Amino acid sequence: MNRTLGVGAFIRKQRALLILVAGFIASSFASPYFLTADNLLNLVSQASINGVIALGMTFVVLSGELDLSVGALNAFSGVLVARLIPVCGAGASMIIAIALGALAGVGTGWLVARLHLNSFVVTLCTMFVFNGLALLLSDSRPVEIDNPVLGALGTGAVLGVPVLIWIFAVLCATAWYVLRYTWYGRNVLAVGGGAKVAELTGIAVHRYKISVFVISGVCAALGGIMLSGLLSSASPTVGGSTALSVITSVVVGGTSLSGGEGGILQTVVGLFVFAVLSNSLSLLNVPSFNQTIIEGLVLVVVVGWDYFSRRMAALSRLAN
Amino acid sequence: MEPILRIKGISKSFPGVQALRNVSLDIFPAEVHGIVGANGAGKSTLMKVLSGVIQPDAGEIVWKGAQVRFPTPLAAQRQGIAIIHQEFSLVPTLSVAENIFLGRLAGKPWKVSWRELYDEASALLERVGAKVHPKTLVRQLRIADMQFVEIAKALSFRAEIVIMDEPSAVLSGPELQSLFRTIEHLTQSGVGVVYISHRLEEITDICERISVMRDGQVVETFPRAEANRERIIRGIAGADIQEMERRQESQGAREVVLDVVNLSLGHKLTNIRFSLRRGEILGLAGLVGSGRSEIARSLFGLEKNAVGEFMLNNRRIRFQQWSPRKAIQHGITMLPEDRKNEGLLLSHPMYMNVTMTRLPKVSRKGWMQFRREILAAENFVERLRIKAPSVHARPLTLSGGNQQKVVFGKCLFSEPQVLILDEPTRGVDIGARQEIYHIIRDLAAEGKSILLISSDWAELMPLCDRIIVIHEGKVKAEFHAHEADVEKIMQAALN
Amino acid sequence: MNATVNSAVRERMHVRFLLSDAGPLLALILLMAIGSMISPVFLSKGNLYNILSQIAVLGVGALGMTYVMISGFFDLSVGGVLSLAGVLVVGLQPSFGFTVALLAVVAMGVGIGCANGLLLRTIRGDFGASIMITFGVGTILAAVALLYSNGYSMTVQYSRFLSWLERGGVAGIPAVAVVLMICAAVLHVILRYTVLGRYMYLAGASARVALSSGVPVYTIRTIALCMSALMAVIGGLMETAQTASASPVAGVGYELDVVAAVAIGGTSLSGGWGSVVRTIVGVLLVGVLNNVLILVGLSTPEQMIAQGLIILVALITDRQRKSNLS
Repeated sequence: MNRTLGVGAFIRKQRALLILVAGFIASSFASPYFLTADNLLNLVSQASINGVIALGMTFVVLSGELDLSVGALNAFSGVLVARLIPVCGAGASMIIAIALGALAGVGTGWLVARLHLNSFVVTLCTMFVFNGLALLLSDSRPVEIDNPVLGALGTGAVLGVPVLIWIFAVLCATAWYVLRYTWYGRNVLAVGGGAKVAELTGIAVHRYKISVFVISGVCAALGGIMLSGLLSSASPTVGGSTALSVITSVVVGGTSLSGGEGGILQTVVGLFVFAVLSNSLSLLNVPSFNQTIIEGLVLVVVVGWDYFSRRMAALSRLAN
Repeated sequence: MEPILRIKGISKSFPGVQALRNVSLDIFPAEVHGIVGANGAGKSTLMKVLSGVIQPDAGEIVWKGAQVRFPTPLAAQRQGIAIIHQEFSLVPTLSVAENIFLGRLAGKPWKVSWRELYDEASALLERVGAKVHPKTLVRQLRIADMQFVEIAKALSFRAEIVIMDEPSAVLSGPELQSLFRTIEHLTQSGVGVVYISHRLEEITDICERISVMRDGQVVETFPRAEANRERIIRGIAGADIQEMERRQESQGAREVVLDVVNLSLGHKLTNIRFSLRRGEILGLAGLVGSGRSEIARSLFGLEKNAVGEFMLNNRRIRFQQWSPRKAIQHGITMLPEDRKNEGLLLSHPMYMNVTMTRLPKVSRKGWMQFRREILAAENFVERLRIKAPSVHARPLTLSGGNQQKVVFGKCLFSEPQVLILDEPTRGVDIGARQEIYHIIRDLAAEGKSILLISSDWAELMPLCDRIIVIHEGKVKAEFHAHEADVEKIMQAALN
Repeated sequence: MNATVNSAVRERMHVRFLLSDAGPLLALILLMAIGSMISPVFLSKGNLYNILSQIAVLGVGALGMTYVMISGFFDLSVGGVLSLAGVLVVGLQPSFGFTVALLAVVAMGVGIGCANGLLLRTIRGDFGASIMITFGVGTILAAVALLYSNGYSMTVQYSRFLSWLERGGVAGIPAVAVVLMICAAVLHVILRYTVLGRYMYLAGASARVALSSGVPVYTIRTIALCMSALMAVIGGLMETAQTASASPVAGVGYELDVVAAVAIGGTSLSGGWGSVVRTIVGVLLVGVLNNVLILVGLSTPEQMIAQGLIILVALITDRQRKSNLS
């Protein structure tokens, strides 16, 4: 009995990893092109933009909240940088974009932590605001960018590996370290796992809640900069489905929507489940709408399963 | 020896209830101080005052000779007073070690030293005698182990007094023994322990001094040498047991309405059986956690895991297929223990609360008949003497007693045959209490069958025709009204 | 003495309650006054006609969402339903005729509502679960709409009903607004005067209390979700008629607009409170606000920003009213 429980627990815990491995193997059989270095580097560098945003989202979800505004913020910061570069150069405009991302996070976090508003609804609103701002700044058209720094960021490579991947990898390692080894990271987990207990222990819960939205805002802004570097242009409508895919990646990896459980490694696995999926579906010429359907299905199933298994766990705890 | 903690004349009242009256108590270092009392005697309130959860209305706390205030639990903790509540304050998703040092991790802010953390946690766990690995997640622990983690956490604060609120309620045999060893270790190292419990043996076994509380007061404090079972029980129950006149002996044999053939629920209830006759008031006595509330909730269809069956008017019904909706349709209704979260819509008008259990009575073909609804609600206001400006008033604005009467009205509106009352007088002041007793008796006289749960055993006896005592999920004893007394019930309930 | 203090407090709270209730209505009147001062066009017959035809799609969705929010859930699938209903009715019409196509999309709406409800019932979902699940379902539906139409707008073939919706009217009121009024009247009567309506409030006020009082909470919420999907279908038909084409992205952002309108009207986000009348006031407020913003000369993006901010303000005041009351 104990052993079957162990296997079950392993499958539950490593569910996403198993799916990833299976998907990887299936893809390499389905398309001979899949396992080439070119394709894999391409796959990872495309995933790295949403990946950076997903890192920020991981902090938010771990603390028990949600941030839907990341897609809009992503588009907004891309457009902002595109507009600012002719005025004040690449460096300054990137700093401004990232600072605005942080500021947006402070605002959202304050509303959520101090006024106890539902983060989903609040970020739905800020999503609207930033979408509007992005359209406004760009006259509702994609903005061309011709800047060597941004170009190098988006398409350059160091030691044969694209810069985008380097950025993602460094941030991954940092985020992982923060969550594993710093007081800050551990307290974020405590806040998500039991806000009331954390508060009683003297952890300033609201500060942590605000801080996770700041991290998420910064990551979303950075993602926008990376994306406009990759495409040499910034589109105001690019972030439409970003929030959904990012949250889906985080949740599918195994980070619980109720907070406190999960981490960066899970997010990375979840991210690559979808990256491999969409890469191989593209290689097989499956239209992108189907990919969205699959993403939506996975979201419903995983969220449903999350709740369902918690209910079952509550029942079986009682029975034992 | 000087007391490390002195409580002088503490009083605290909540709307409608005087929870503590002029309580004074001395706690010495390195002693185990037992506190006993019935539910609602004020033990928990006193502990909450001591640990900074709530502020007293009057009186002072003297800690090591200096008067202090504990505005927050954290403040009390930093001074060296740790409390272990019945609901644990642990983060289920974190490891044992992290929970012990929550907010005070080892190492530097940018580099948690996990090894150091685990070593320190192991040392503390060893000191309390827990066989728990510090890396285990708290949500995977058994409840007994969580208790040890809580104690270890208290020690990590260098607590000089540890308050334990009914730790034995969740522990059994061997676990209890190791808890006692832990307590012994604590006192040997100079820590004072305040031990709250319902179990008299352990109180007389491990406590050096014992304080008895009743009605928000400390009635007496005596050393172990002077303690005996009878004295404690007398103290808990008080002299005014026989205040209310006893119910007349049941009038002849009436037909059985509800017959529970067998009822089991996980490890909480095993093979419960009893029956209830028409017009009878059956008391369910037992300690908190004995399973009496689970019996009530199972009969009302709120426990999804209940198995077994019962006969309702000679119809066989299985617990698995039972739900509150069906229960109400078949004439069983329950007054829940948790009035505010399960009983009432506090900010919706009273008439809506009353009629919600059976809307068809105030509607025709799906259309609401508002005048009938208001009249029906007003009828209950009058009948139950609810003091409210109108049936449009929101329960939020009423006193506890009147709120409870609204719940009664709501239950009665569904015209039940069987009424399950779970702690009907909790949080209700004395005056309203008497009225509620009258209501209960009137209902029985009308022929309704009543299952009455109460922690106040003194109120069970005069009200009930029969009383069954639940202990650890089993029916332990059954008494007829004329043979029951507080001491007998207590013997059975305490084991 | 205590009693008089109590009743005084109650009196004051009652007054404040009324004031906060009337807030949206006062804002609407104020906004109309401002509108008529800013532009002479505002109160013209043509402009009022425009406002009415512009709020209809939003309005029906908001009516359905009112039910869902009162019963304690959230429905973010309405955008997907709206898009899908549009492209399906246009796509099915050539082969099956308009009536069959219409029945098919209505059935689809009810089916989606039931699916949402049953899914949430199975997992014993709470408010948060309803957000995530309906969000996922909505995404799927939106993608199905894109798939069905290959991502292109589909041109509408002639049908009497749709052309009546587009151009017809009763006594100078545009047809879509007439449909909206009928829906509002029916839903108002159900909510206010029937047992089902009462159950909606009870389910939303506290699921625990309702369940232990014999209210079939999840069934009620499923009905609410069906209502909201059905209303989104009607919204999809209106949108299709008005634009003479069915766009697979017609419903993008619809759910937010709808939630915003309901919340601005004063229906609580946490369930148990609200009414159709409030929602209609909220819808009118949004409609008039947009109209005024356009008359003032704001562009679409600027309107988006303004709307996002206004909902936030509505949320904050809602929260503050709640904390004042408790």
